[in-house]
Amino acid sequence: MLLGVSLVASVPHVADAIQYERSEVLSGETWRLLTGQIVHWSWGMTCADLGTIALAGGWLETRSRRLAVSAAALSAALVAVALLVARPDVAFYRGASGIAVGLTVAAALELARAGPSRWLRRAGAALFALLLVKAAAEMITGASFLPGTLPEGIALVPETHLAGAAGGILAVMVPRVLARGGITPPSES
Amino acid sequence: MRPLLVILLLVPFALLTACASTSRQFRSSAIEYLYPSGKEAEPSRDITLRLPARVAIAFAPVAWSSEHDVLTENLKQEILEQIASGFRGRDPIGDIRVIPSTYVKPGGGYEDLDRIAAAFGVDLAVLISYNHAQFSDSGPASLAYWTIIGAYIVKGEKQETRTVIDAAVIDIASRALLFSATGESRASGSATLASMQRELREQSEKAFRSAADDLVAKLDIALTEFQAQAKAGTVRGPGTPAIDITSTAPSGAAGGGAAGAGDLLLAALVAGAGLAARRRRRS
Repeated sequence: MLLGVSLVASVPHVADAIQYERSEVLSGETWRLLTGQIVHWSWGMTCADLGTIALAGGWLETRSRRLAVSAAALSAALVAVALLVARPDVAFYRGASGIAVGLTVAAALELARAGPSRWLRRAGAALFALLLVKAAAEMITGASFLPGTLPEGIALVPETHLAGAAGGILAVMVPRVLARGGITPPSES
Repeated sequence: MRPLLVILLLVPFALLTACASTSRQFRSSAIEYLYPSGKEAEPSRDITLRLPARVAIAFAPVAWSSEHDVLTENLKQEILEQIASGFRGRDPIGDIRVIPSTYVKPGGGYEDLDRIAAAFGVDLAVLISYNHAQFSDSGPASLAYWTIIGAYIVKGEKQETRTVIDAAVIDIASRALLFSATGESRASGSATLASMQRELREQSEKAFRSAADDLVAKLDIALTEFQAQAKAGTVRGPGTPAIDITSTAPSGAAGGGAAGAGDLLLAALVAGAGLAARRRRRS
């Protein structure tokens, strides 16, 4: 569903109407905090973000649909908070990479936590560590090391990747913490 | 006597051949595309210009030519790219889309531009017209062609190519011409009879590229002048359509959350490891 909506939202006039615009959000259009994360600046950016979501989110959904949905939702929520609070200088924003990073982090952490063999758990842990290092490096340098897909004139907002990663971690760890405290979520049907 | 008479009769023919001239001309016209015969001109409306501008650039269809079009589709695309690349990244231009000729219907008018605007998501159209003339004259050296070998080694053909390229920048919604510019080139050369056609084609290509370079320089000046005039609120001064500029460009920063090659790679590795885990659980 996220893929379909994001593709439709990549039509130029639609994207203009629902992108994150700080001035409009502060005027009351708070829905832009979320809709801005499903539109993109270019088709290349759309393909990269949706490709990442499809890969990581696709596997995570086969593992647990609840986990995939909660990772996406928490990542989106934390990205929205990061934009509003941590980056008041960003007037316009588009991109689903915060959600993409959140799903990838959740998938890696889930693999590290519950992989059926030692080497798969270690692989998951290594990938999880790499993802965190990448997000931290982007925060420090303000840019991505490998080729990105942002058009000229559009700057990467690394806080969204860090926020997405946090969302992925919370999605995996919060149910575990609650379970230890005797609170179990309803089972998936 | 008889051989002398034959020579005397042949010499005028030889001289006439030596002085032969040919010409060919190709023309495309934005006006004929926008206002095909029978169509009345629409008065321009006031303009709302959204920046950064989203622009389409295309050749106006050929209006008339003495032969098939001198420009192949590949060459048209290269020349349009040459012009577009002179302006990509320049403020306040957001995006320039090169439109293939198959999308531009001869005599299509503004309705055709409306379809292009909807299909490509653009607001402005740059229509490229040209007038391309080539002249070929056989000089006295062409008498050597009678030797047959001379046709291959003697450059008896003098060629001249004159090219004018015009760019008209149009706001599609209001039907208003914002500004225009013209680039020119002139080239000359010589060729053998055997290589004449090839030389003419090569000269055509060079002429168009040279005229396109000249056009980029002059269009840049015209754009700067238009920007200055637009600040005063009209397209070309009193009596011309009013222009209102709205900017969707971020006055604050524009940011993006974009997955790059690294994210895709890591996601692929996670998905791969996850699939391996799933297979292991099933086995």
